[in-house]
Amino acid sequence: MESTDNDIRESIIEGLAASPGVAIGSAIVIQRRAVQVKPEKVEVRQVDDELTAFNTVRDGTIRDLKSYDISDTSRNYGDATEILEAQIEIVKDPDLHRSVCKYIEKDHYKADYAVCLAFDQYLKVIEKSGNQLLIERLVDVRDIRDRLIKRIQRHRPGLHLAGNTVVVSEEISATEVIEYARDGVRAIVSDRGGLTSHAVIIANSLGVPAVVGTRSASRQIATGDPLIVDGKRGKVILNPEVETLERYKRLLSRIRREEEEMTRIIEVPSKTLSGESFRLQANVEFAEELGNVVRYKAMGIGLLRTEALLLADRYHDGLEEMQRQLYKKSIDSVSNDIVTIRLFDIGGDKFIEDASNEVNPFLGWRGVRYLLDNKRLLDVQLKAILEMAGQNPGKVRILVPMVSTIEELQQVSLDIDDIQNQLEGDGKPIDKDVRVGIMLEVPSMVLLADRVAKYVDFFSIGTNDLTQYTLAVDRGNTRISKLYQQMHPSLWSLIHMATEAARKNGVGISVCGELAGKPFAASVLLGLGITELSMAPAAIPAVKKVLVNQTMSSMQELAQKVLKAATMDDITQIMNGWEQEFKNME
Amino acid sequence: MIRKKVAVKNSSGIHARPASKLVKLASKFKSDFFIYMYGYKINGKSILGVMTLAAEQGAELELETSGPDEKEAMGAIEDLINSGFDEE
Repeated sequence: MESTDNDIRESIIEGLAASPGVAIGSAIVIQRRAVQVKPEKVEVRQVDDELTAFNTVRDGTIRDLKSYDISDTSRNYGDATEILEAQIEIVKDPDLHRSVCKYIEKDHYKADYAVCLAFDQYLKVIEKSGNQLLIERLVDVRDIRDRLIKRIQRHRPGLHLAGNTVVVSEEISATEVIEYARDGVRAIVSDRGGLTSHAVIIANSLGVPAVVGTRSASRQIATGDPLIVDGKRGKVILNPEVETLERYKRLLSRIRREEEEMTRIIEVPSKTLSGESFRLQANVEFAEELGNVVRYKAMGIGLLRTEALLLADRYHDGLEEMQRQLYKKSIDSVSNDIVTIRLFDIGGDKFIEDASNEVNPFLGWRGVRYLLDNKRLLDVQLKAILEMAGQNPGKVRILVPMVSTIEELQQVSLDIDDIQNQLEGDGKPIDKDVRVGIMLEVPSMVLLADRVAKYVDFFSIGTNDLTQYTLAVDRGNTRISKLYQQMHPSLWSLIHMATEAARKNGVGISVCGELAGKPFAASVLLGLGITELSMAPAAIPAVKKVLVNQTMSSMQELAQKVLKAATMDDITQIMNGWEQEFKNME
Repeated sequence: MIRKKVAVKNSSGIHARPASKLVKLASKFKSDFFIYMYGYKINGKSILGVMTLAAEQGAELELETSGPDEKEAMGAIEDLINSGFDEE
């Protein structure tokens, strides 16, 4: 694609501010166009690399396909699942694998051409068969072949991603973000995608600036175009002018200085200016994020989300093993600290196979409700967690999601007792004192917090959903999303209620929602008496910085002001005042 | 090793969806699984292989399982094919 003189003017492409950070580089546009393969061969010594490339891509593709959220294509839900499953089987096909490896090992073909050849054999035979239903499916077979070939072609290091590269594409999957981050990509821009997609969560976690939902960036930008990505403001600046470039270069060096400052902050003890300790922990969903848990010195994992395991393995083969691996890795990443494992929280916006399209999924069959109706699944998870707890006593806590009644909690506790007895009977080690807590996200439990406290070892306030339920707002509903205010006075009131109940009953309390990762909110939370906060690892330094620079009494004063607020305006005023004071301190 | 003959019952034969079900089921077992049809032998755990059979309604298949769980494998696979892959 050539650019005409007209295109060389600076232009701004707007999108969603998906992951903060600035990147100045040149674009690599990944288009959905026809795949090209050449019948090239490699030297004998490169054969192993080609095999590795093929196997890595194969595994990554299987993982990606299994985690596809097809609830978007709910019009043809049945067909979509059918195609997807067949595609997964194709990628897993043992004979295909053998055939590709043979072309690489014996004929020394490059991996992408080997895949092409291997598929060709089957495609020819099926085309000749005359069976219409099968021939119709060849589109999907070719789609998979092309997908594998494209991934192999991108996989070659150095080919695409030398220097300051920004990947621009129609759509980017979570696995691709991980791959690009590993290859040193500076930023990611996509046409599609929303702020709650997994790709965005991973980008944030890995600190890769991202702008999504641009609608047409991949068509406006050509490979090689210079651009600036401003992740915080959701902007992509194509063909930046000299002034713009200078401005962003200055911004980039300021960001780098702040990062160095953050690195320093990580080493400082977690104590307020007046000496009180606090614990900043990490929210984790994928094993790939554990590197950041270590890097930002999180004092434990306050929320280990586990439902991704289910989405990756829809038919529960190997679920026990996948769990064990994730739990073990998580425990290892925090050395002497604690991992709080949240039971599968599925339903609502998270796809489950027997979701029958509920009218109100957020008020529906999800969390502990779903688990109690699917005892087998609940027990499979509890067993894996309790075994891990037995092998690592004192390091594992269990967190139950979406509890709305005390009875639900009691039922889960009974299951836990049963399984602990089973394990003991089987001669396996158990943690007799394994701690069990609930997510405080449904208002009913917050209102009864002082009575619920007797039944739990700890509370973890899930402010994201608590906000939705309390203000009756669906965060994903663009028409009313302005009403989703995590710092609304009503929320602070509930948090205060819960904290008092926890204190009176000697029960631990922490916050694991997004609120905890916001410096102002974290200060208020400490002022209310909550000293354990869990957040995305990359949010830890900024929060730590404000907490070590305030005294407990000033944070308590702040909290008292906030509790007197009645409107969001009041809160905003208090926050602005606090931010001013902070700037003056520096 | 166990060998059994079955006939394809579905009116649409073994197209993509039944092939996918068949392969998924067969892959759960440790035993090897092969399908013979009119002189062709294909690996029953390979979906592309099964698709190339393009077995139509009425086609006679000879199933072969061999391994530690060959009996269970044969039983399950036979049931799936005889039930028409739960299609109709």
